[in-house]
Amino acid sequence: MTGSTLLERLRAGDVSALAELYDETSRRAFGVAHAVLRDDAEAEDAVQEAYIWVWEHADRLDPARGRVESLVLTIVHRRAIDAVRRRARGVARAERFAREHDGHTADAADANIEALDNEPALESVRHVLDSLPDEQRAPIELAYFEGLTQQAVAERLGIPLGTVKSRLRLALGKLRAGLAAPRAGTGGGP
Amino acid sequence: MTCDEVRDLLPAYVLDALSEAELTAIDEHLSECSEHIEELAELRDGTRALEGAITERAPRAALRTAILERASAPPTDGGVDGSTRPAPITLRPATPPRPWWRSPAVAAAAVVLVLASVVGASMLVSGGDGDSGVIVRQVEAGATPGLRVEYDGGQAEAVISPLQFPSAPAGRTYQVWVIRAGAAPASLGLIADPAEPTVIEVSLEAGDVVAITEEPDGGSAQPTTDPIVAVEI
Repeated sequence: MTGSTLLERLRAGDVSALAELYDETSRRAFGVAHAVLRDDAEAEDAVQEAYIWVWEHADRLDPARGRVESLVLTIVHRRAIDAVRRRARGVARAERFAREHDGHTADAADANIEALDNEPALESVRHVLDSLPDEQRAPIELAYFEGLTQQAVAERLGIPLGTVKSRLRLALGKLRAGLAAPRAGTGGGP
Repeated sequence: MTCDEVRDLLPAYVLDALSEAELTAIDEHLSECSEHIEELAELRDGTRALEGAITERAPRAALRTAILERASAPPTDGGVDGSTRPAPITLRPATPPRPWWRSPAVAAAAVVLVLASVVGASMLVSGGDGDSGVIVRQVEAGATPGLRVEYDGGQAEAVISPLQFPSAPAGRTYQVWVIRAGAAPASLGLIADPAEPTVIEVSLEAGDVVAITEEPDGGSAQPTTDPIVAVEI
Protein backbone atom coordinates (compact mmCIF):
# COMPACT_ATOMS: atom_id res chain seq x y z
CA MET A 1 0.00 0.00 0.00
CA THR A 2 1.63 3.26 -1.08
CA GLY A 3 1.25 6.51 0.81
CA SER A 4 -0.60 8.29 -1.95
CA THR A 5 -3.17 5.55 -2.27
CA LEU A 6 -3.67 5.57 1.46
CA LEU A 7 -4.07 9.34 1.28
CA GLU A 8 -6.65 9.02 -1.47
CA ARG A 9 -8.63 6.57 0.62
CA LEU A 10 -8.40 8.86 3.63
CA ARG A 11 -9.69 11.69 1.47
CA ALA A 12 -12.57 9.51 0.39
CA GLY A 13 -13.50 9.06 4.04
CA ASP A 14 -12.50 5.40 4.19
CA VAL A 15 -12.17 4.57 7.87
CA SER A 16 -10.33 1.34 7.09
CA ALA A 17 -7.54 3.50 5.60
CA LEU A 18 -7.26 5.29 8.93
CA ALA A 19 -7.13 1.90 10.67
CA GLU A 20 -4.31 0.82 8.34
CA LEU A 21 -2.42 4.05 8.94
CA TYR A 22 -2.86 3.58 12.67
CA ASP A 23 -1.77 -0.04 12.65
CA GLU A 24 1.32 0.81 10.67
CA THR A 25 2.43 3.86 12.65
CA SER A 26 0.84 3.94 16.11
CA ARG A 27 3.73 2.25 17.93
CA ARG A 28 6.17 4.82 16.58
CA ALA A 29 3.67 7.62 17.20
CA PHE A 30 3.10 6.60 20.80
CA GLY A 31 6.86 6.22 21.26
CA VAL A 32 7.45 9.79 20.05
CA ALA A 33 4.64 11.21 22.20
CA HIS A 34 5.84 9.30 25.23
CA ALA A 35 9.46 10.39 24.76
CA VAL A 36 8.28 13.98 25.08
CA LEU A 37 5.50 13.60 27.67
CA ARG A 38 6.56 10.53 29.69
CA ASP A 39 2.98 9.94 30.67
CA ASP A 40 0.77 7.27 29.10
CA ALA A 41 -2.51 9.17 29.30
CA GLU A 42 -1.11 12.44 27.96
CA ALA A 43 0.76 10.60 25.21
CA GLU A 44 -2.46 8.81 24.19
CA ASP A 45 -4.25 12.15 23.98
CA ALA A 46 -1.53 13.55 21.71
CA VAL A 47 -1.70 10.47 19.49
CA GLN A 48 -5.49 10.58 19.30
CA GLU A 49 -5.46 14.27 18.36
CA ALA A 50 -2.86 13.70 15.64
CA TYR A 51 -4.72 10.87 13.89
CA ILE A 52 -8.00 12.74 14.04
CA TRP A 53 -6.27 15.81 12.63
CA VAL A 54 -4.95 13.79 9.68
CA TRP A 55 -8.40 12.27 9.19
CA GLU A 56 -10.10 15.65 9.16
CA HIS A 57 -7.51 17.38 6.99
CA ALA A 58 -6.80 14.59 4.50
CA ASP A 59 -8.28 16.62 1.66
CA ARG A 60 -5.72 19.36 2.23
CA LEU A 61 -2.61 17.23 2.60
CA ASP A 62 -0.10 17.59 -0.20
CA PRO A 63 1.54 14.30 -1.26
CA ALA A 64 4.52 16.31 -2.53
CA ARG A 65 5.33 17.18 1.07
CA GLY A 66 5.86 13.64 2.19
CA ARG A 67 4.12 10.44 3.03
CA VAL A 68 1.16 10.56 5.34
CA GLU A 69 2.87 7.92 7.49
CA SER A 70 5.65 10.43 8.19
CA LEU A 71 3.31 13.35 8.50
CA VAL A 72 1.36 11.73 11.31
CA LEU A 73 4.55 11.48 13.37
CA THR A 74 5.28 15.14 12.71
CA ILE A 75 1.83 16.04 14.00
CA VAL A 76 2.12 13.75 17.01
CA HIS A 77 5.31 15.54 17.99
CA ARG A 78 3.66 18.94 17.58
CA ARG A 79 0.74 17.87 19.78
CA ALA A 80 3.09 16.44 22.38
CA ILE A 81 5.08 19.68 22.47
CA ASP A 82 1.83 21.64 22.88
CA ALA A 83 0.93 19.44 25.84
CA VAL A 84 4.34 19.58 27.52
CA ARG A 85 4.30 23.37 27.25
CA ARG A 86 0.82 23.53 28.78
CA ARG A 87 2.11 21.38 31.61
CA ALA A 88 5.16 23.59 32.06
CA ARG A 89 2.86 26.60 32.32
CA GLY A 90 0.84 24.69 34.93
CA VAL A 91 4.00 23.94 36.92
CA ALA A 92 4.99 27.59 36.80
CA ARG A 93 1.54 28.50 38.13
CA ALA A 94 1.79 25.89 40.89
CA GLU A 95 5.20 27.20 41.90
CA ARG A 96 3.92 30.74 42.01
CA PHE A 97 0.93 29.61 44.05
CA ALA A 98 3.21 27.71 46.43
CA ARG A 99 5.40 30.75 46.96
CA GLU A 100 2.35 32.84 47.71
CA HIS A 101 0.74 30.24 49.94
CA ASP A 102 3.56 29.08 52.10
CA GLY A 103 4.47 25.95 50.21
CA HIS A 104 1.18 24.10 50.49
CA THR A 105 1.26 22.88 46.91
CA ALA A 106 5.02 22.68 46.54
CA ASP A 107 4.88 18.89 46.53
CA ALA A 108 2.57 18.84 43.55
CA ALA A 109 4.87 21.20 41.66
CA ASP A 110 7.90 19.09 42.52
CA ALA A 111 6.17 15.97 41.28
CA ASN A 112 5.55 17.62 37.93
CA ILE A 113 9.10 18.80 37.63
CA GLU A 114 10.27 15.30 38.40
CA ALA A 115 8.09 14.01 35.60
CA LEU A 116 9.95 16.34 33.25
CA ASP A 117 13.27 14.67 33.98
CA ASN A 118 13.98 13.12 30.62
CA GLU A 119 17.02 10.97 31.13
CA PRO A 120 15.40 7.51 30.87
CA ALA A 121 13.33 8.55 27.86
CA LEU A 122 16.44 9.60 26.01
CA GLU A 123 18.19 6.27 26.49
CA SER A 124 17.04 4.83 23.19
CA VAL A 125 18.11 7.85 21.19
CA ARG A 126 21.34 8.25 23.10
CA HIS A 127 23.48 6.67 20.39
CA VAL A 128 22.01 9.05 17.82
CA LEU A 129 22.38 12.11 20.03
CA ASP A 130 25.88 11.04 20.95
CA SER A 131 26.83 11.30 17.32
CA LEU A 132 26.45 15.06 17.72
CA PRO A 133 29.03 17.39 19.23
CA ASP A 134 28.05 18.51 22.77
CA GLU A 135 27.24 22.04 21.71
CA GLN A 136 24.71 20.73 19.16
CA ARG A 137 23.27 17.94 21.26
CA ALA A 138 22.04 20.13 24.11
CA PRO A 139 19.94 22.47 21.94
CA ILE A 140 18.37 19.48 20.14
CA GLU A 141 17.48 17.76 23.43
CA LEU A 142 16.00 20.88 24.96
CA ALA A 143 14.02 21.72 21.84
CA TYR A 144 12.83 18.36 20.56
CA PHE A 145 12.33 16.50 23.84
CA GLU A 146 11.75 19.24 26.41
CA GLY A 147 9.59 21.51 24.27
CA LEU A 148 11.66 24.66 24.71
CA THR A 149 11.45 27.28 21.98
CA GLN A 150 14.78 28.20 20.39
CA GLN A 151 14.55 31.48 22.29
CA ALA A 152 14.19 29.58 25.58
CA VAL A 153 17.05 27.28 24.58
CA ALA A 154 19.27 30.32 24.09
CA GLU A 155 18.31 31.64 27.53
CA ARG A 156 18.77 28.25 29.21
CA LEU A 157 22.21 27.73 27.67
CA GLY A 158 23.24 31.37 27.93
CA ILE A 159 24.18 31.66 24.28
CA PRO A 160 22.91 34.04 21.58
CA LEU A 161 19.78 33.10 19.64
CA GLY A 162 21.74 33.22 16.37
CA THR A 163 24.11 30.59 17.74
CA VAL A 164 21.21 28.33 18.69
CA LYS A 165 19.75 28.67 15.20
CA SER A 166 22.97 27.69 13.50
CA ARG A 167 23.58 24.80 15.91
CA LEU A 168 20.10 23.42 15.31
CA ARG A 169 20.66 23.61 11.57
CA LEU A 170 24.04 21.90 11.80
CA ALA A 171 22.68 19.22 14.12
CA LEU A 172 19.79 18.39 11.80
CA GLY A 173 22.26 18.10 8.93
CA LYS A 174 24.38 15.67 10.92
CA LEU A 175 21.37 13.63 11.99
CA ARG A 176 20.30 13.41 8.37
CA ALA A 177 23.76 12.28 7.31
CA GLY A 178 23.67 9.62 10.02
CA LEU A 179 20.32 8.44 8.70
CA ALA A 180 21.73 8.07 5.18
CA ALA A 181 24.84 6.21 6.32
CA PRO A 182 24.33 2.77 7.89
CA ARG A 183 25.12 2.88 11.57
CA ALA A 184 28.04 0.92 12.87
CA GLY A 185 27.23 -1.98 15.14
CA THR A 186 23.51 -2.20 14.39
CA GLY A 187 23.54 -5.01 11.87
CA GLY A 188 25.31 -8.30 11.34
CA GLY A 189 26.47 -7.42 7.79
CA PRO A 190 30.08 -7.28 6.66
CA MET B 1 6.61 36.55 6.91
CA THR B 2 9.13 36.72 4.07
CA CYS B 3 10.87 33.72 2.51
CA ASP B 4 14.15 34.76 4.17
CA GLU B 5 12.55 34.92 7.58
CA VAL B 6 10.96 31.52 7.03
CA ARG B 7 14.25 30.03 5.89
CA ASP B 8 15.91 31.32 9.05
CA LEU B 9 13.30 29.63 11.24
CA LEU B 10 12.96 26.33 9.39
CA PRO B 11 15.31 24.25 11.60
CA ALA B 12 13.42 25.31 14.72
CA TYR B 13 10.17 24.78 12.82
CA VAL B 14 10.82 21.11 12.10
CA LEU B 15 11.79 20.63 15.76
CA ASP B 16 8.61 22.43 16.93
CA ALA B 17 10.93 24.82 18.79
CA LEU B 18 9.03 28.00 17.97
CA SER B 19 6.21 29.83 19.66
CA GLU B 20 2.71 28.83 18.61
CA ALA B 21 2.32 32.11 16.71
CA GLU B 22 5.54 31.52 14.77
CA LEU B 23 4.61 27.91 13.98
CA THR B 24 1.23 29.04 12.65
CA ALA B 25 2.77 31.84 10.58
CA ILE B 26 5.18 29.38 8.96
CA ASP B 27 2.42 26.81 8.40
CA GLU B 28 0.52 29.50 6.51
CA HIS B 29 3.54 30.59 4.51
CA LEU B 30 4.41 27.02 3.52
CA SER B 31 0.88 26.28 2.40
CA GLU B 32 1.23 28.99 -0.25
CA CYS B 33 4.95 28.96 -1.10
CA SER B 34 6.74 26.02 -2.70
CA GLU B 35 10.14 27.68 -2.39
CA HIS B 36 11.06 25.74 0.74
CA ILE B 37 9.89 22.20 -0.09
CA GLU B 38 13.36 20.82 -0.70
CA GLU B 39 15.03 22.39 2.29
CA LEU B 40 12.12 21.41 4.51
CA ALA B 41 12.38 17.78 3.38
CA GLU B 42 16.11 17.77 4.16
CA LEU B 43 15.59 19.19 7.63
CA ARG B 44 12.74 16.76 8.25
CA ASP B 45 15.15 13.92 7.49
CA GLY B 46 17.02 15.10 10.57
CA THR B 47 13.94 14.78 12.78
CA ARG B 48 13.16 11.40 11.12
CA ALA B 49 16.51 10.21 12.47
CA LEU B 50 15.38 11.16 15.96
CA GLU B 51 11.94 9.56 15.51
CA GLY B 52 13.50 6.41 14.12
CA ALA B 53 15.75 6.03 17.15
CA ILE B 54 12.98 6.42 19.72
CA THR B 55 11.81 3.10 21.17
CA GLU B 56 8.42 2.08 19.83
CA ARG B 57 5.67 1.66 22.39
CA ALA B 58 2.32 -0.05 22.01
CA PRO B 59 -0.59 2.12 23.11
CA ARG B 60 -3.60 0.49 24.74
CA ALA B 61 -6.07 -1.16 22.37
CA ALA B 62 -8.71 1.27 23.62
CA LEU B 63 -6.91 4.10 21.84
CA ARG B 64 -7.40 2.50 18.43
CA THR B 65 -11.07 1.97 19.18
CA ALA B 66 -11.50 5.55 20.37
CA ILE B 67 -9.84 7.03 17.27
CA LEU B 68 -11.80 4.89 14.83
CA GLU B 69 -15.06 5.57 16.66
CA ARG B 70 -14.41 9.27 16.52
CA ALA B 71 -13.58 9.07 12.81
CA SER B 72 -16.73 7.02 12.14
CA ALA B 73 -19.01 9.49 13.90
CA PRO B 74 -21.55 10.76 11.36
CA PRO B 75 -20.32 14.02 9.82
CA THR B 76 -22.14 17.10 10.97
CA ASP B 77 -22.85 20.17 8.86
CA GLY B 78 -19.64 21.88 7.94
CA GLY B 79 -17.85 18.56 7.55
CA VAL B 80 -14.20 18.36 8.45
CA ASP B 81 -13.65 22.05 8.86
CA GLY B 82 -12.69 21.89 12.48
CA SER B 83 -15.58 24.04 13.62
CA THR B 84 -17.93 21.09 14.06
CA ARG B 85 -15.48 18.31 14.73
CA PRO B 86 -16.59 15.60 17.08
CA ALA B 87 -15.48 15.93 20.64
CA PRO B 88 -12.44 13.91 21.70
CA ILE B 89 -13.22 10.63 23.34
CA THR B 90 -11.76 10.72 26.79
CA LEU B 91 -9.90 7.61 27.84
CA ARG B 92 -9.28 8.82 31.37
CA PRO B 93 -10.76 11.14 33.92
CA ALA B 94 -10.63 14.85 33.13
CA THR B 95 -7.25 16.47 33.68
CA PRO B 96 -7.77 18.13 37.08
CA PRO B 97 -6.50 15.79 39.76
CA ARG B 98 -8.97 14.07 42.00
CA PRO B 99 -10.03 16.42 44.80
CA TRP B 100 -8.41 15.70 48.12
CA TRP B 101 -11.59 14.50 49.74
CA ARG B 102 -12.06 11.85 47.06
CA SER B 103 -8.82 10.03 47.47
CA PRO B 104 -8.74 6.46 46.16
CA ALA B 105 -8.99 5.14 49.69
CA VAL B 106 -12.71 5.29 50.19
CA ALA B 107 -12.76 4.47 53.84
CA ALA B 108 -12.97 7.64 55.86
CA ALA B 109 -10.42 6.26 58.26
CA ALA B 110 -7.89 6.09 55.47
CA VAL B 111 -8.91 9.53 54.29
CA VAL B 112 -8.25 11.03 57.66
CA LEU B 113 -4.80 9.46 57.77
CA VAL B 114 -4.02 11.08 54.45
CA LEU B 115 -5.37 14.36 55.73
CA ALA B 116 -3.41 14.02 58.94
CA SER B 117 -0.25 13.67 56.91
CA VAL B 118 -1.28 16.77 54.97
CA VAL B 119 -1.33 18.76 58.16
CA GLY B 120 2.06 17.53 59.23
CA ALA B 121 3.08 16.46 62.67
CA SER B 122 -0.26 17.02 64.34
CA MET B 123 -1.28 14.38 66.80
CA LEU B 124 -4.72 12.89 66.67
CA VAL B 125 -6.25 12.75 70.11
CA SER B 126 -9.64 11.35 70.85
CA GLY B 127 -11.66 11.03 73.98
CA GLY B 128 -15.15 11.21 75.31
CA ASP B 129 -17.15 12.48 78.16
CA GLY B 130 -18.98 9.40 79.39
CA ASP B 131 -21.48 11.31 81.48
CA SER B 132 -22.85 13.73 78.94
CA GLY B 133 -22.32 11.60 75.83
CA VAL B 134 -20.18 14.28 74.24
CA ILE B 135 -17.64 12.94 71.75
CA VAL B 136 -14.40 14.85 71.59
CA ARG B 137 -11.99 14.58 68.72
CA GLN B 138 -8.93 16.72 68.55
CA VAL B 139 -5.91 17.30 66.36
CA GLU B 140 -3.34 19.02 68.53
CA ALA B 141 -1.88 22.23 67.22
CA GLY B 142 1.81 21.81 66.56
CA ALA B 143 3.75 23.24 63.69
CA THR B 144 0.38 23.68 62.01
CA PRO B 145 -3.01 24.69 63.42
CA GLY B 146 -5.12 22.09 65.18
CA LEU B 147 -8.80 21.42 65.62
CA ARG B 148 -11.05 20.31 68.45
CA VAL B 149 -14.48 18.94 67.66
CA GLU B 150 -16.98 18.27 70.45
CA TYR B 151 -20.10 16.57 69.28
CA ASP B 152 -23.19 15.97 71.31
CA GLY B 153 -25.26 13.38 69.46
CA GLY B 154 -28.24 14.09 71.69
CA GLN B 155 -28.23 17.79 70.87
CA ALA B 156 -27.13 17.23 67.24
CA GLU B 157 -24.68 20.00 67.86
CA ALA B 158 -20.95 20.31 67.33
CA VAL B 159 -18.55 22.77 68.87
CA ILE B 160 -15.74 23.45 66.41
CA SER B 161 -12.68 24.98 68.04
CA PRO B 162 -9.86 25.97 65.70
CA LEU B 163 -6.60 25.74 67.62
CA GLN B 164 -3.93 28.34 67.00
CA PHE B 165 -5.32 29.45 63.69
CA PRO B 166 -3.94 32.76 62.43
CA SER B 167 -6.50 35.37 61.39
CA ALA B 168 -7.65 34.63 57.87
CA PRO B 169 -5.85 36.71 55.22
CA ALA B 170 -7.73 39.72 53.83
CA GLY B 171 -10.53 38.60 51.54
CA ARG B 172 -10.33 35.01 52.82
CA THR B 173 -12.24 33.08 55.41
CA TYR B 174 -12.19 29.66 57.09
CA GLN B 175 -14.91 27.22 56.12
CA VAL B 176 -15.91 24.02 57.90
CA TRP B 177 -16.86 20.88 55.95
CA VAL B 178 -18.17 17.47 56.73
CA ILE B 179 -17.14 14.68 54.42
CA ARG B 180 -19.12 11.46 54.52
CA ALA B 181 -17.62 8.45 52.75
CA GLY B 182 -18.56 8.45 49.08
CA ALA B 183 -20.17 11.90 49.16
CA ALA B 184 -18.99 15.37 48.25
CA PRO B 185 -18.09 17.64 51.15
CA ALA B 186 -21.02 19.53 52.67
CA SER B 187 -20.41 22.98 54.10
CA LEU B 188 -21.10 23.36 57.80
CA GLY B 189 -20.58 27.09 57.60
CA LEU B 190 -17.93 29.73 58.07
CA ILE B 191 -15.82 30.49 61.08
CA ALA B 192 -16.41 34.08 62.08
CA ASP B 193 -13.49 34.24 64.49
CA PRO B 194 -10.87 31.48 64.53
CA ALA B 195 -9.94 32.44 68.10
CA GLU B 196 -13.40 31.42 69.34
CA PRO B 197 -15.26 28.09 69.28
CA THR B 198 -18.08 27.94 66.73
CA VAL B 199 -21.27 26.05 67.54
CA ILE B 200 -22.82 24.28 64.56
CA GLU B 201 -26.05 22.33 64.38
CA VAL B 202 -25.28 19.09 62.62
CA SER B 203 -25.90 15.36 62.73
CA LEU B 204 -22.61 13.54 62.53
CA GLU B 205 -22.01 9.83 62.12
CA ALA B 206 -19.03 7.72 63.04
CA GLY B 207 -16.54 7.92 60.19
CA ASP B 208 -17.51 11.45 59.13
CA VAL B 209 -14.55 13.73 58.62
CA VAL B 210 -14.71 17.35 59.72
CA ALA B 211 -12.23 19.57 57.91
CA ILE B 212 -11.39 23.26 57.69
CA THR B 213 -10.18 24.96 54.53
CA GLU B 214 -9.33 28.52 53.66
CA GLU B 215 -11.79 29.94 51.11
CA PRO B 216 -12.63 33.27 49.52
CA ASP B 217 -14.83 35.55 51.62
CA GLY B 218 -18.38 34.26 51.71
CA GLY B 219 -17.22 30.66 51.37
CA SER B 220 -17.26 28.21 48.47
CA ALA B 221 -19.74 25.59 47.26
CA GLN B 222 -16.96 23.00 47.37
CA PRO B 223 -13.49 23.25 48.91
CA THR B 224 -11.02 25.02 46.65
CA THR B 225 -7.91 24.48 48.77
CA ASP B 226 -6.32 21.63 50.66
CA PRO B 227 -7.56 21.21 54.22
CA ILE B 228 -5.64 23.00 56.93
CA VAL B 229 -6.74 20.40 59.42
CA ALA B 230 -9.17 17.47 59.43
CA VAL B 231 -10.45 15.08 62.05
CA GLU B 232 -12.49 11.89 61.89
CA ILE B 233 -15.50 11.50 64.16
